[in-house]
Amino acid sequence: MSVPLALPRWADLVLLPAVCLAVALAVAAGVVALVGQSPPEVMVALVHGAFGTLRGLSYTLYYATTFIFTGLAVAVAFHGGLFNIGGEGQAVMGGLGTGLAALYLSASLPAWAMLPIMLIAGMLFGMLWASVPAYLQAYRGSHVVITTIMFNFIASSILVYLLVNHLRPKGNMALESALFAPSAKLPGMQQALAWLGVEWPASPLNLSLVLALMACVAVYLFLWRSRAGYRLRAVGSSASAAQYAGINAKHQTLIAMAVSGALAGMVGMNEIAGVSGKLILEFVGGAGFTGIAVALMGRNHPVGILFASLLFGALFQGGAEVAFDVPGFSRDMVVMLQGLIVLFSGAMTYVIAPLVAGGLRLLPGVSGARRG
Amino acid sequence: MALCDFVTVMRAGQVVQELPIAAATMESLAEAMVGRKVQMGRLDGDVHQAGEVLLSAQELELCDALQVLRLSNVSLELRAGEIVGIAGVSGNGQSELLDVLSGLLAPSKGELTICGQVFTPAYWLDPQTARKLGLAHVPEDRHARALVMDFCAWESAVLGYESLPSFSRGPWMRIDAMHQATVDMMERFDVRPRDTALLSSKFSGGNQQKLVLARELGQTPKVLLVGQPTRGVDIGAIEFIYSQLRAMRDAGCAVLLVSSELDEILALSDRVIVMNQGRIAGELDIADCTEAGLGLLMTGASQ
Repeated sequence: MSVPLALPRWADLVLLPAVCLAVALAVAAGVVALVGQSPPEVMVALVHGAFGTLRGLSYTLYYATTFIFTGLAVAVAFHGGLFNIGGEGQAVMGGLGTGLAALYLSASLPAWAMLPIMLIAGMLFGMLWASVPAYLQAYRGSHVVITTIMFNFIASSILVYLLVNHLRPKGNMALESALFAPSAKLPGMQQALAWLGVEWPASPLNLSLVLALMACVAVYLFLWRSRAGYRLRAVGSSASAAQYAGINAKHQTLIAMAVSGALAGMVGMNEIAGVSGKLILEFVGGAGFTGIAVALMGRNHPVGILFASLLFGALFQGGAEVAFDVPGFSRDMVVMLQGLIVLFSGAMTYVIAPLVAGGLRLLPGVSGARRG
Repeated sequence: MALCDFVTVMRAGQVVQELPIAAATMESLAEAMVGRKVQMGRLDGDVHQAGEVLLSAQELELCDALQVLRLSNVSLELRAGEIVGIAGVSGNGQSELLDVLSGLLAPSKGELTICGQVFTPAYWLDPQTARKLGLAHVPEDRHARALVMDFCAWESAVLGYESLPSFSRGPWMRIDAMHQATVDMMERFDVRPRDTALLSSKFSGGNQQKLVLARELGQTPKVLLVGQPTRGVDIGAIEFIYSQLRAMRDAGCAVLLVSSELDEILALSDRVIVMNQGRIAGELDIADCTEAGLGLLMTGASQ
């Protein structure tokens, strides 16, 4: 029997993640000090790099956009009781769909038609890629964790094969497709805000951020307001109770993975339609795996995922700045910091939670913490 | 009663009675525990008027994955306005019978007629169809089946009924209507605490069971399948649950009661079917039932 945690809701949602983050930062500060750097200096450089300038903030938000997509993808599957490790591969295939649509159609279609087609193609490819492991899980009992990992490798091999043998323009040595026509370019934030008369520095940040926010709202409505989401969560929480209720668990497995894959498939809109303007090799860059950490930290809730994405976006951007500004500080230190955050906000939550609960009990006036 | 020399009764955190066991009776202890007179046994003059056959099962046979025969040649009829008790030592096919009749498991042989609709193993009943036909099922295991433990009370309170027109609008749930229905259920069945947002797992066993009964009885079913309705439930709630089941019977519902408590079977049933090793070992009218006679049938000794 585990000890029931008696944390009030606000502490569970805000205080606990904050404490976990603080502990992770403290440990990271120790490591930074050990390698002979000044923790305060690194910290200031990191925060300034991520949020200190509009340009830095734009990069932070640009990275966060991709993490929102992959984080939501992991969360939806999780609510269906599935651990989708294949966000990476689904994002690769989604980007391939987005890119293929752009390559073949962008010359003849205007932007208002081209961009939605690219979005739908990306979602569809991600969905189809996720549905194979989903089918194998539902009807053949192959564990989805294993199959999605393997599908990551297959997806990246397919992309390499297509780029090397088919999509690379003749005479081009770089592993990338031809440039799309301008109609396949998702407007950048600088351009979009200029329409509104707001000045914004040039950055990779683009309208995908709006798409990501809409996806957050849509996932919330789907999971907690729709009957389909209710059934999905019922299967994820208790397969036997769902069976009793007459819910087909196999169908829910397919639905959860399809939605998950579609969300991961939107990554291409940010990276390909928004930034590169052509199909490139490493456009996902591990974001599918970072999405697992994001979902873990964001408690599989869209609002939490939004903040966790922002945190990881800030680490990416701030970390790059620190590696640039502070001599002798390698980018690997930032990866270590991410690892610590995942460790403390995920695995160590249940070690820290009783301490937080104990601390709260010492405070006067918070005795309402005990519930039920 | 069998082991102790002295008994202390506590209620709501206070000692209400202390006395030597010789001075205590079952009834007096129950009364001290609940704080009022408790009617646990059979009601005097409890007569019923059985009506038309609402559920009829013919020669059900079920093999499990290991090819063990779980049900063999089980035939039974449920009529409107009667409670049929299934007595038996646990594990003699009662759970499987409930699963088959509620559509959770398809048998290998047999036929089932519910409210005029016929089902065969090739096209067996499923839980959703069962609900549409007016069959409600209070499962034996409320933790694994009847409730989703991680769901709020209001979400568990509509489990299986989330697609009712009153609870849905297009693809969306009508959350306000679901909350209101849960408030009503909690009021009618005295579920405590009256907190529709509390997690299902945070309620006590008795209150969870009352919530399940409120849900299943609330849709005025024609056929009610009940498994172990009072397992792990406190004595005050047991009395209440008994009265609710009798009220369903009196309203014309056909009730099938599976219980491992012989006292419960005897207190509620109008007719008793005894199961032993997946077969029906005997069927008795309640007037002909004695604990000794049922015990012999349950252990297969009388064969």
